[in-house]
Order: sequence, then C-alpha cells, then structure tokens
Amino acid sequence: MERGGSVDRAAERGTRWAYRLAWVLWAVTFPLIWMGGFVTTYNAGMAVPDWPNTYGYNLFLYPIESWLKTWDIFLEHSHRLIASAAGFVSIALMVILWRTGSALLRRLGVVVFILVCVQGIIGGLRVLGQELLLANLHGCVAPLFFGLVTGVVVVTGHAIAGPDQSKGLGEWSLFRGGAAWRFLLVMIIYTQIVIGAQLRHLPPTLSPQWAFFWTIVHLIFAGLIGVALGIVWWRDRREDRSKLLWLKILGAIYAVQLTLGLFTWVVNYNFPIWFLNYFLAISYTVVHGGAAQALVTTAHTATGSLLLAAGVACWLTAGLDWSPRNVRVPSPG
Amino acid sequence: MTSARDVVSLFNMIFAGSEISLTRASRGRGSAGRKSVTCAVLLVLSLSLAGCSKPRPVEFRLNTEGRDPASISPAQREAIVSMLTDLFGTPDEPRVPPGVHLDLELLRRAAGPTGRDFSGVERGLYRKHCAVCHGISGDGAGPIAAMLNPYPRDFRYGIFKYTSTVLGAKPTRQDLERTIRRGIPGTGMPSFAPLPDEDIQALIEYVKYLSIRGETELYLLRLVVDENELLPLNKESVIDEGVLPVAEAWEMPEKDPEHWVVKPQRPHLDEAQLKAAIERGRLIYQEPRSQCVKCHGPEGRGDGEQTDLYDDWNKPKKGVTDEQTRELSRWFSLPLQQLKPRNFQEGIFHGGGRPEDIYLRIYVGIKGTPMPAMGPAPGQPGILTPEEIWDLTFYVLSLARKTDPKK
Repeated sequence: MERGGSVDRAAERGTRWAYRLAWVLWAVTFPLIWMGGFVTTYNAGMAVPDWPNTYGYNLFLYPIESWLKTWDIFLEHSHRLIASAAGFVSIALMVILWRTGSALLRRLGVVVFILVCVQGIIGGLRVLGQELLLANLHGCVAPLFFGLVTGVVVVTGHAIAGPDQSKGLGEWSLFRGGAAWRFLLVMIIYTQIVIGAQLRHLPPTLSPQWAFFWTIVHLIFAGLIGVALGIVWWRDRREDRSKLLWLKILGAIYAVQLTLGLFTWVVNYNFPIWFLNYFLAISYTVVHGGAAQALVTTAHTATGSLLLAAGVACWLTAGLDWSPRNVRVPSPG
Repeated sequence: MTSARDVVSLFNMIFAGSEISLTRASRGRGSAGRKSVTCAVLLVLSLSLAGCSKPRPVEFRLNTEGRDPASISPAQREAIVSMLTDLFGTPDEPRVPPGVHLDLELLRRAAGPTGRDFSGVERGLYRKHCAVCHGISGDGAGPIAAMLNPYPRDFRYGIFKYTSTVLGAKPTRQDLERTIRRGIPGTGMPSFAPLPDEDIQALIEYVKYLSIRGETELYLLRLVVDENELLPLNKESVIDEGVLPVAEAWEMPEKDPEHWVVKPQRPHLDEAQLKAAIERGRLIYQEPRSQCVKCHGPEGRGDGEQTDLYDDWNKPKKGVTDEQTRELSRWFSLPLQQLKPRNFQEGIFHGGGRPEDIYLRIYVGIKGTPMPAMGPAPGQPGILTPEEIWDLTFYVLSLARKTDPKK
C-alpha cells in the first residue's frame, strides 16, 4: 500500500476477494452450526466411532449409501464434511488476507485458521475420548468461530470502504464510549451461549441441583441481554441510521431467540405445570426426536450463534471509523 | 416446573454443597472498574464455567433416599455395593443374576456409553434417551429431574403408575411399552414412537433390570443396615430371598395374565345408551363409596377437599410440621413435591385419554399414588363392578368433552 497506486489497487482487489471469501466462510459456518446443533439434539456425536476417518474410510471416500442409511451417522458424517469445507475456506481466507498486506487482516486470517483447527481437533478428540466435556467445549468454540468470521466480514467490508487500515485496533474506539457498551453486550451474549452449552451437554450423572442452577442462570442471562440491549439503545438512540440498524437487527433476533427458548423447553419437557393449571390446559405429548423437538431446539442453538454474530457486527460498526475523511490519499511522488 | 418453595430449597441445596461462592466472586471483581476488564473476566469466567459442574463418575448410586448416609458404615456400604455389582454388574457392563429372565443382549444394547461400535451397532440407548431424567441408577433423579413435575419415575421401587395389572402386581411388558411409545401427555415423559422396535425392547428390558436391581438393593439395605445382618453376605441366600422373589413378581402377569391383567372390553353403545351411561356414571361419581369427589371435586375440576396428597416417592419426605419436612427432605435427592388431582375438564390424562385408558386408571388405580383401584382383584371384590367403571369412564370423558361413542 505504501509503494504506489498499482500496489494499492492490488491490495484493494485482495481485500475485495477476502471480503467475498469471508462471506463464503460465513455461509458455510452457519449451516455447520445447524448441523452441529442437530448432532447434539439427536445425541449423534458418537454415531461414528473413529476420527478423522469414518468407519475406517477416508472422510471424503465414505460410501454414499452408508452415509445416507442411518440418521445419526448421516448427521455426524455430514457435520464432518461441512466442517472440512469450512476448514478449506478458512485456509483460503487466511492466504488471501495475508496477501492484502494489512497487519490487522493478516492477524485475523491467522486467528481464523488457528480457531478452525482447534475446533476440529476438539471435535475429533471428543469422539476418540468419548468425552462429553469436550463436546461441551466444542459447542462453546463454534459460536466463537462464527462470531470471528462475522468480524472478518465486517472488517474486510470496512477495509473496502476505504479508511486507513494501518491504524491499530487501539486507535479505533472499539472499547470506548458506546462501542464499549456494545462489546459488553457481545460478552454477555457469549456467556449466555456458554451457559446454554452446559444445558445442552448435561452429563447423565450430574446432580439435579446443578442443572437447575444452570437453568436459572440461563434465564437470568436471557434477561441481562435484554437489559444490556435496552441500555445500548438508550445511549445510541440519536446515532446515525447505520449504527441503529444493527441494534434493530439484534433486537429482532433476540425476540426470536426468546420465543425459541420458551418453545425449546416445551418441546423437550412439556409445558410447566403452573402454565397448565393456571393459564392454558394443553394436552401435549413431547415426541422424543420428533421434528418439532429437533427443529426448535436446534434453531435455538443456531439463533444463539446468530445473535452473537449480530452482536459482533453491531459492536464493530460502532467501533470502527467509517468516515471517508480517514481514507488515505496516496501522496504524489 | 417447581414451586417457589422448591426453588428456594434447591438453591439452598446448591449453595450448601457447591464450591461456588457468589460473594467471593463479586468481591474480587468489584475493584476492576474498566469495562474491558469486566468483559475479559466475563469471557474467562464463561469459558471456565464449561465443565465446572463436575459430574459424578458413571456408577450406580447407592439408594440412601430417606436415610442419613452416615448411618451406613463403610463396611455395610461396601458389602451392599459389591454384592449388587456381583449380581447386576455396572452401568457399562450389566449382568443378569442366575434365575432371572432378562435378555443380556438387549441389556448390553441399552447399557454403556452412547454411540455405535465399529460394526455399526448402537449401544448406550438408556444413557442416550432416558438417563437425563431418570438418572444412571434409574433413581428418577437425573440432571433435569428437579425441574419436572411430576418427577421422573424412580424405577428402584418396582412401582409403575400406569399399568393394566391389578393392585400389587408388576406392570406387563406391554404396559411399559405403551408408556414408552405414547409418552405421558402433560408431563416431561416423551413419546419414543420414532424409535425402532428393537431399541424400545432394549429400553424396556433395561428398565426391568434397573427395577429388579433397585428392589434387590432395598432388600439388602433392610438386611444389612436395618437388621444388622452379619457380614459377609451369603450370595445364594441373597439370590433366593432378595432377587428371585422380585424377578418372579415381574413374571407373574406374563405367566398368568387371566389372573393379573385387566383387559378392558369396551361396550358398544349408541348415543342414547351412552347418555344413560354418562348419567349413571355421574351418580356413581357423587357416591361416597367411589370417593371421587373427595379429591377431584364435585365437578371434576381437581378441587376436592383432600389437598394434602403425595405419591409414595414423596410421602416419606413429609413430616407433620414444616420444620420436620425440611429436616426430612435433607435425606432425599429431590425436594418434596405435592400431587394435584386431575382436573378432568382440562382433558389432560397422564395415563392416556382413550376410554380404555381411563377405565384402567379407575379399575387398577394409579400405583404409588392416592388414586385407588376400584375394580375387583384376586381375593378382593372391588369397590365398583366393571359395568359401573365403564359408566364412570364415560362420565369422566364427558367432563373433558371427549366422549364420542365411535372413537
């Protein structure tokens, strides 16, 4: 970028490709999260006993008829295939980000690559060690990766928009003023996802008091997100439209997520008895592994990640400087 | 969900026995000041939360419900646990005691950790589908149990609510299968209808296994702790006096269904006959001998004068005073839970909403609960005749507006 117009143009082209590829990775990661959610919902994490192979076959050579024959194997093997795709796209993204020359983008590319590798290894070790705690961790890292990819989409988009990329993170107001509040909101959302992961991976020997504790904490954090969202909205209500847009999107996803949360309880454990006794008597029977249970529960998991992603976008749009005055004009000579 | 009192008692149980101290945590963070530090703490804390609630090892938990665990000496505990392991194996490797007719292959499919082996056979079905509510030991105290009302069934007492067998008899295989396949409406017990038949058969076998094991455990606790039997225990005598009577009780309804199993024969009624049956049923419902009004109220709204109702699993937690109840509850996995008689007008029938299901609930009662058996049993005339029970069935269904003679 420092060496003249043609280099700048090459870097800009690279950034544009990185932006496109970041979107591709985003589009691969979201279905991957859904598929991972289905694997947990159907308790299919151990449907394939080996890793990185599938029943002794190379992952990509596992026979299609065996893949499609049994539901839990289908879910787990599909999850692995989509994860591989995410891995390959991550590598490509890292390479392209490296070629942009921006220190920040390079670092982001490396972090994406490291995190996708870590996530894959955790997933593999969970299978080899039959370890539920690793499944839990796998479920916690997935949204983190998704949030990171969302961050890359926003930052590369920002880079295309033109502001000075040589600025360090510290020079932006990512952790100051309104952006700091948005960052706090992102952290609360992520904590909530981690708490949700505890409820999704309850060890069968866990004391009932612990599950009760997690449920109460999960409810408290659901409320906290609403409160934090309200505070951010109140602080930024006079900001320009682009900054409020993400808050509106976040609010909408939050409302959907709350509804899904309530229905996740119902499709797994039925209506609470106080609801049946004092509000509405509905003769409903939970169907284990039924479509309602699988879709609603998994949608709740995936929407949690989407909420985090929207939170990240909301934070970065507020923290990054998008004003054109920061576009650096190459000096003549 | 639980009541406010349950919430408080559960919190007390959590913070009495956990390593988490909320006050300590908040003191440490109080001086942090900067938001970014708070955020970093949140991130680290949230990730460290994953797995801090360390589960117990996967083993059968000794049934100390209602007992001070300290009242069982280490030698007694060891004797009971090793005898049970010798006879029944472990959650990963089940065994079938001699003389007990359980299919070990089915048990192996249900037992152990969840997953498929290299031949593609799925194992660990119980842990995959049931343990989160019913617990590894079948104690009805799985991780999610505290939040369910009613609590999941504790298999270890050999009592199952919804059966077709007369008072005192074990359920038939079909009874367990019906509950597993259809689930229990209005409760956390799901329908497992989407599961393949062989999986359901494996789960039924494992439930029977846990139940026979559980009752043997109760026998051993009585023998070793209550009667202070001299150790070491004699395996043959434990099998003869503890295991086989329980196993035989499970076989009785299968061997002699005529004697033990009630088969509802629904009368075919036209609309006028149905109307008359409902009217007769209404009169029976009001009669003191049926005792329906006492719990279910004059209009079947579940608002009878009898409100202090508990099932057999909760009764031992109830003292005369609140203080006694709190004291007693310390020795149980789950807080006291009160029963609410069914409100027929809601139309939610836990044991099933078909006329045959309601008939059975009245005829054989709901085992382990105050809902009595009204029909005749071997050696007992019964409070109502089968015809009267049908009349009452149609009346109950009419309250729920579910009476259709063609269905």
